[in-house]
Amino acid sequence: MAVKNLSAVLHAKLDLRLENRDVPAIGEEDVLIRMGPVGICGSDIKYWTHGYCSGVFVLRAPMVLGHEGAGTVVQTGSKVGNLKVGDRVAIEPGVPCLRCRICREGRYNLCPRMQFCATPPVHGNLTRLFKHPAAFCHRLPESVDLEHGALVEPLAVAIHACNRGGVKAGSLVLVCGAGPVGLLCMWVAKCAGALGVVVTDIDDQRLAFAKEKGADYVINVRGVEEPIAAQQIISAAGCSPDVTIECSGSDYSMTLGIHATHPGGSVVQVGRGTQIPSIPLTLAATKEVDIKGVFRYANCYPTAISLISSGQLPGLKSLISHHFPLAETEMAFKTALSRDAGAIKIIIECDQ
Amino acid sequence: MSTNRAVRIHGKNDIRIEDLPIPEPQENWVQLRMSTVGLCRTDVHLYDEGRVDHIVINKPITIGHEISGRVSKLGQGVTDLNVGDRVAVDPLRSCGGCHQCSRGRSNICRQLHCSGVLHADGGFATYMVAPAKTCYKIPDNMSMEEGAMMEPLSVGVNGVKRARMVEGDVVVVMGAGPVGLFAMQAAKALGASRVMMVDINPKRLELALKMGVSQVFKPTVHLSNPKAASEELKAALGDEADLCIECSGAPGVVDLAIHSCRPGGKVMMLGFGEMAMKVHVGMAAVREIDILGSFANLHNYPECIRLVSEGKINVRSAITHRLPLENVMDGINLVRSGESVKVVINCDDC
Repeated sequence: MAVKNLSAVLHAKLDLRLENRDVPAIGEEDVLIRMGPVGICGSDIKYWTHGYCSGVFVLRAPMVLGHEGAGTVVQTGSKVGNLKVGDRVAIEPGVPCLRCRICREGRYNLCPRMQFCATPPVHGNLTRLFKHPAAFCHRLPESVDLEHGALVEPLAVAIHACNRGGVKAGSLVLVCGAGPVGLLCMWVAKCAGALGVVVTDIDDQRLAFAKEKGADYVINVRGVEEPIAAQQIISAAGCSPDVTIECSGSDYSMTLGIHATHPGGSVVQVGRGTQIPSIPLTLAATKEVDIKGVFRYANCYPTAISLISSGQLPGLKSLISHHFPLAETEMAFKTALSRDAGAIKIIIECDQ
Repeated sequence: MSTNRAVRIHGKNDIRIEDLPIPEPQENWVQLRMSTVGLCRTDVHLYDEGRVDHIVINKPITIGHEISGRVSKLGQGVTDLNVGDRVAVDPLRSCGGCHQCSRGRSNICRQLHCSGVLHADGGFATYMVAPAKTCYKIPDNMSMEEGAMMEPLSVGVNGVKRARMVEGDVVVVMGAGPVGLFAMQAAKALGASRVMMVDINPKRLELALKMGVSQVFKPTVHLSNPKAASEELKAALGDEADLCIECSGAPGVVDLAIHSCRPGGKVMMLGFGEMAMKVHVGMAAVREIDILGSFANLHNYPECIRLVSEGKINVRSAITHRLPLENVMDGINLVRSGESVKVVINCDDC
């Protein structure tokens, strides 16, 4: 019996096709998942518009897109102990080797043999039926629906960023960029006990949304020189931030973070801007402000699911601005790119 | 000596050797008869620019912050030191009460004074005064010259510690000047499995070998292509670095360090060059290579003294020129020329 496994496949830059693929056969440690909601990320868009991402990953063969997915288990391999048919799961897209030195140190996000959904050449989960190692499928408790499950992945990025920056009780945090990642970092910072979050952006609408969703102070930094913007932040908040989390992808914000951050603090780079920007590195070094980049996450899915199920992120779903069925994936991508659509997080429903 | 002969910077390009009153020690301070005081690139910068970052020199300051001397007078309340004690002096003076001080980061104290650099007179003089708690006794088997080297050594040791180097780490040091040579030895003494020294000057690399580095490397690829230069470096190293310590302040070297680290590795910046520079943060981010800075020292003089007096670190070999106080300008020119490694000023005879 031929089962159609409709999938969104990127063949080349700007060449996205809906195709029927084979239903994958699962191994003894895998599960087969009927995919539900899958979110779109900036990196998916980048592969679609450019055919490459982050300066290192290049599309060389057709690849199924999508890595922010949740779904329901429909089949389990013979050795699977943590899941049963009917369980709803958030899928952690990156599968490391778990044997190399960096994996054994716990930083498996940096594994050189990482297999990550929708990073070439590994297929993603914008598909009807998807196979994945059971160990990297995290069961959702009853109180957490599949839509929340699709938000676990970007939430994990925010948790990892806050961990890298050392955000803790009493921290003042500066978040640069009020897009979905910035908003998630703001919420996670507050869950971690931050005494306040300042959000900067160049778009008043995004800043208004951030303020509505919990930012303590918002500042529009369009056209303001970094040292002056830093002073504005410090005046507004009453003290300088301990941690800056850069989520805008702009070089400006890295420099702003270096100026604004309290000596001894950190600037965490989540956004991807110019590969080689000009930044006041000597200023950072003499202030002992550490610059730490973020690459995905490790050991953050359980925390993310906990934060959702304990009700600490009531505003999470407000990030979702659009829904599309799988067959309209290209329209979804176009919407993500279009300024007028005002998209925040777009969800593609793979079972529709 | 009935007067205090001191080298003072009055402003940009304005250096004067003057006769000043001999300073008297206040409560809990001591008066020191200066001995050997090292000359540093920062001193040259103070002369050339008349400022340190945003702090402009608007009143005269006696320079010299790599200090050794003999206690000549005790202020009231000083019990841990005696007249005649030979000491190495930590130039940093923190306030003790601000947020940074109370959380153990006094080197970035909000009101930091640094004798010879910021808000306090330093050691290129016949006499100076200092808080007794910043004066550390040097054992008999250490010379006053070696005592003066405690300051640059403390920068290297602090860098290695701040970077959280782990025993067994593979470390690459870039820039074989005094800070690099001392950072290299600190890494070795504190447990690196091996240390490679990188420089473009073969004479400095020779000195590094003499001082015990495991391996030296001179890039053949120009640093305008840091990725290619790093491939060469890693081939010579036979590995990726756990930690790169950048001590040169030269353009392009930070990127060489980033490309030479393993994922999750660290780049520690000890060399301060141009304020703004192009940095390959994209590469650092995708491999979570942390870019850390370290400023001066954090109460590690006792450890530095121990490491030298136990023969684990050789600071004497870095001293290439010894000049009397009156010839300090020659010293400044030497440092600028790059001909010297470490120039020290002898204040004993002034």
